[in-house]
Amino acid sequence: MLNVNNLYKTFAPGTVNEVKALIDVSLHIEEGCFTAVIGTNGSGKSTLLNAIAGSFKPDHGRINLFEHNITNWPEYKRASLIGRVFQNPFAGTAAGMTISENIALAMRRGKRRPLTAAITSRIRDEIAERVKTLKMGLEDRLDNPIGTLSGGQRQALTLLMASWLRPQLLLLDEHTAALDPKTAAKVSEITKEIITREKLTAMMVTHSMQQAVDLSDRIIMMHRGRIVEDLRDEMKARVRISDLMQTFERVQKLDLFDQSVAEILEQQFV
Amino acid sequence: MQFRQQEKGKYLLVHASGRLDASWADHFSSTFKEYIRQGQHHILLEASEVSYLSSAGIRALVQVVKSIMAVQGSFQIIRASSFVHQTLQMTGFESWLKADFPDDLPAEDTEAQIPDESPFELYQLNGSTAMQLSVPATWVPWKAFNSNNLSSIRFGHQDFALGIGAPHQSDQDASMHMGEFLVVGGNVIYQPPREGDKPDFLLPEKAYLPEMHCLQALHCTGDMPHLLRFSPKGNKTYFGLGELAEKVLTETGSALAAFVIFAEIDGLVGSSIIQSPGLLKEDRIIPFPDIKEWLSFCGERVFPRQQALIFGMASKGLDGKKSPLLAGSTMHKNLFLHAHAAVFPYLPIESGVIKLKSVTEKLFKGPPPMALLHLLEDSRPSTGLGESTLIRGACWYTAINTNQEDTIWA
Repeated sequence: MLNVNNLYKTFAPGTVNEVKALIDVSLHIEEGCFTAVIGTNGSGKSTLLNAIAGSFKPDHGRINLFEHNITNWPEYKRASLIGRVFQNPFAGTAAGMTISENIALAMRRGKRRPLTAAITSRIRDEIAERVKTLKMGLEDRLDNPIGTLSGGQRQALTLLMASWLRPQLLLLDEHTAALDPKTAAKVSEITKEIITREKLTAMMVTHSMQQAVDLSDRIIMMHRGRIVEDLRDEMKARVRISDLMQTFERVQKLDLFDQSVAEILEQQFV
Repeated sequence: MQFRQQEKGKYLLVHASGRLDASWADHFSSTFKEYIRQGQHHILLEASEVSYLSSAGIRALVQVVKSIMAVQGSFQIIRASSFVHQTLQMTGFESWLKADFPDDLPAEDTEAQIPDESPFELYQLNGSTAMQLSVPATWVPWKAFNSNNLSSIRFGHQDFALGIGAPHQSDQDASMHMGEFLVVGGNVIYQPPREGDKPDFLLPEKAYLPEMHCLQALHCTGDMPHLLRFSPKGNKTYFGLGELAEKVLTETGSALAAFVIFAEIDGLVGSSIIQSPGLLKEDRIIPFPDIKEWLSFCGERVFPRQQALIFGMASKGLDGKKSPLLAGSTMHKNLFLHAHAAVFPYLPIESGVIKLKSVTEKLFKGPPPMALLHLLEDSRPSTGLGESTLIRGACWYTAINTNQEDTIWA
């Protein structure tokens, strides 16, 4: 379904600020799979998501989504296939427009938007019905500007909007990181509900081990631009938060293993 | 709640004040469990200023008493307020109550009386005076794997060993899974050679004796007739592995000794095999960075406040020779050492004389081991992690006899 092959991306190449953000990343994600991407800061996980979304072109490699080779597609063209939710609850929605207006825009993402009434009574009922599934009471506030809502409410709506047209791929980039713990838990719950109900294929970047273990079908861990762990099927089923923490520690310790450590081992490891 | 504590002889006298209810119960039990961790196994709770005790508070008291009884300690509530006294009487816990302080409670603080108290206690146990060492498998890094060099060993209750091996049935299967192991009283703890895998363990039960196919093995059979207890005193807050090994060699007066340590960890330094040496087709020198594919390194001092079960062998050396099986210490003069440590969640043990068998039985009834490390010394200037250090615990040890000196010393 999603095939990423030998993806490379270096930012500021040839300068002192050069960062090899993706190094030979290959990944196959099957339809209906909810994949969590975890990793240390700067490990390349958001870069991977942005590469798939089309925020930049990779230096090398190929990205296929279903039958489409989307490697050279611009971001707006990919938006017809890909839904996104960002870390910032204020991104992804138009603050001055009402809830129903924002959703009406999302309903026509990637489609023609002719000069006709965007919100008919039928569409309004449909919006109210879907918004009701969030169980936040927002169905009674459809005419309120979305900018008047809390971060959690906006993020839940953004999630609903991103998944409205059942995108072929839903990308969630630390979409609960800016929320307080209780709201983050609520948005996580809504995420799981929407993805399960709509049978979506999704990739979620997160720093929350709890989310990765509880929500996803598969966990990918990145470190220094590479995939260092891929837990799926029975390995994912048995993994616990403490296991992920240990893996984090392990990959970080690997950075401390230098020539001087090798010399110690040569002397001491008998 | 507020607590003030005083050490008085073998007792810790804790003056508590406030309400022992649901809001304070967790704080109360964690405070008292920390006392037990610090080696205070006889606790007197002076409760004249404890104004209220709820069922949640009683539950916290029960948890504390259980923890103290597990280390053969004692717990008494002295001069309880009338409310606490009445509540404990009516709920059937009056056995905890004492009207006044015990007769053997010293009047003054013990610390002031004996400032030079030794951090070590030595005990003589039953058993033969020395163990017999054999070295049935002698692989050294990074020699080619040859199944003819494997040695299958069944470990019984008097066996102690460390090395590299696998518990699998066939030689071919075993070759893929060669990892470090240690054996204490026949109990085998084995680390599969893959990062992230948990240590496995095999325990002798009835007719079953654990069997390992060993690529490398230092194997001793016999008793551990000596016991060394160590705990922080004064400025002495931890014990280095090398320091304990030197103490063992001094006490046995032997050139070669074996020891088992069960202790709370201050920090361990070590590595683990992460790729089976059974995959080596030819003799190799594995350079950096390829060595990272074969060995992991802890990178920092690891597993503080957990519990280590260590089996090791120590020697003062032999005529300036090097050993392929004992690493020369870089931090202790004339010390050669090979030790493996299994890490378990913290488990307090009683003070004084304690049998190794009772410790291992208790240990393996609890949570499984978290890791197994081949202990190393890291004496790199400025960045070095030092040696493994321990806070308090027990060390059983013995002198070693062997007729394989040529194998041990190159």
